[in-house]
Amino acid sequence: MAVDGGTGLLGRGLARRLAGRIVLDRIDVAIPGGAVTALVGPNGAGKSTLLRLLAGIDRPDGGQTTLDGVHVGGLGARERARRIAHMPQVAPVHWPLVGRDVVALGRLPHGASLDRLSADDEHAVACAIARTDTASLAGRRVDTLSAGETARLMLARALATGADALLADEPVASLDPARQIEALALLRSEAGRGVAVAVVLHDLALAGRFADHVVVLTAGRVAASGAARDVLMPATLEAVYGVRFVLLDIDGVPVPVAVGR
Amino acid sequence: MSGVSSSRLLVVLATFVALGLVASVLIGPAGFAFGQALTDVAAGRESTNAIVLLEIRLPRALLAVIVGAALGMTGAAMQGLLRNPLAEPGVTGIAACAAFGAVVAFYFGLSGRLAVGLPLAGIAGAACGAVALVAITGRDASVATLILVGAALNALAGAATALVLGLSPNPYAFYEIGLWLMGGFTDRGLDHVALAAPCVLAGGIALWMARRGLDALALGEETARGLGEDPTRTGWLVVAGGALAVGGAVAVAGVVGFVGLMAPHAVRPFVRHRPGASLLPSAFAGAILALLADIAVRVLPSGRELPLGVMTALIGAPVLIRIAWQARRSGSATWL
Repeated sequence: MAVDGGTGLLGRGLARRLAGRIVLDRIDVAIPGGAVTALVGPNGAGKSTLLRLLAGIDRPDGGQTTLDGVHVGGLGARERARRIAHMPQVAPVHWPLVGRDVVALGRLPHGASLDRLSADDEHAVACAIARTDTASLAGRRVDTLSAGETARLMLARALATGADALLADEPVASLDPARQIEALALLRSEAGRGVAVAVVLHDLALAGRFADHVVVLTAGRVAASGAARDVLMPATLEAVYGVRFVLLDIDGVPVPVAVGR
Repeated sequence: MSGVSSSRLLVVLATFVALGLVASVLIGPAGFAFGQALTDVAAGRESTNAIVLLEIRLPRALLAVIVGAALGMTGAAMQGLLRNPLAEPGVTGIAACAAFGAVVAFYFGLSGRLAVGLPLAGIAGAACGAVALVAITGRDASVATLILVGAALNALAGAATALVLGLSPNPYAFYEIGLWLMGGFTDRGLDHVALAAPCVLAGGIALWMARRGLDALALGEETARGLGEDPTRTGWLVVAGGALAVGGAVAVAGVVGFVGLMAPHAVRPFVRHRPGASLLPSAFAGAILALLADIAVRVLPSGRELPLGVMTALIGAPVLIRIAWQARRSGSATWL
């Protein structure tokens, strides 16, 4: 496998130990540009850790990540943040900022500060707000918003960066079904513009419907990866999750459903 | 959207600083003709009016601006770093550590031999306090942790200061330094201004460089790193900048409490609670508060002038209680 082949994020032999425990065991993973890759797997499988290594936020204990063939660890922090947007699973908002300021934080990697946004920054913020349908939240203090509304602002914040890769850790966990579909459709449209999108999901039905590729992680290893249709098979999922699955087919979309022991 | 434009807010605050500065020069017990003093100074005449202006009133007013700005801006930066509305040089014990450093310099005669020894010792003390605070509390301290560590640092620095004073062979030193510890701008000269100003300016620049990192920290450390802002670098900028500014300020003015708590609290609603955008307005607001408090101790009909720190505590402690009360009711101190 050539490291410099293809666009997008490529992790090779990524390893991570935390407090003596192996969280990621030298795994290879590809997040190709122009596609949505879903990361699925049981709690504690190492999905969030993998996303942080791919984003260059944490340094791996082994292996390396490349973006379009360029070693991510060699990029300066700000350039790395400009090219790879990362949306953590939990992002507290420590001050009662208004929604628009939260979105504008996505422009910090471009050298903006909240009291000094260039015309480009303003434009990117306005676009991100429009695309996430958060105009009604832009002037409201975040301490008055619901978890789902805050999550949509966080997605807008990540979009505002305009990065080449977008890594989202459970971005739809607190959204209602309609907003979940909207958010994932938005990530799909980002992929349509050539962005390498990775998204951690627990809802396998959403993974089947919106992801081009699925990577199944378990205990720090890749249990399966490939086209969504090939990976989301009951046999694979049962081995990983330890519960029985049935596979529905709804309008040609594979929908795995966990049905119990 | 709430809030006013940053530049307009700064112009308004700067106007108030200028007004306060003029009022501080004009108000005082000594009979004093301001116009005559200006003409005498311009003509180089050493009249009583000129001496009152240059050696009493002006240093006092300028020190209030410099020290108030240092405390206000450091308070805003510390609150942004620790994401805690109670973080402040006084409450956290950093000012007390700076005072201990300055007292040591007094005691060993360091300040007599070398003028910059005093601010340097203050900065060293403040730096030790700031590093200890951030190391013990971590970067997103709960209110309880912060208050406990602050109480411990305050007690430790206070005890160490009392110990040094107790060892002093000069009985008057105890009284003199005790009074100085309560803070004030009286009996300071332009040489004190010249000592404090560079420290406060250097500290202010370091704090200003942290503004983007403080904005990013509003969404937690993981997001800050994802945005390309290293929280460790932000932390060091705030610790170093705060130590320089507070160390320099305390070394010449003693411990003027609560300005660093009140100033950011007052400006935050006007800057939409953005941590970076609250830095400069907090510096201006701190200067205004210090000027007003210093004018108040002069006009109050007390037998002898109250120490400035007593006045700021009288105003500031109720503000602290109010913030703590709100935090208790909302179950969290992060939303204020």
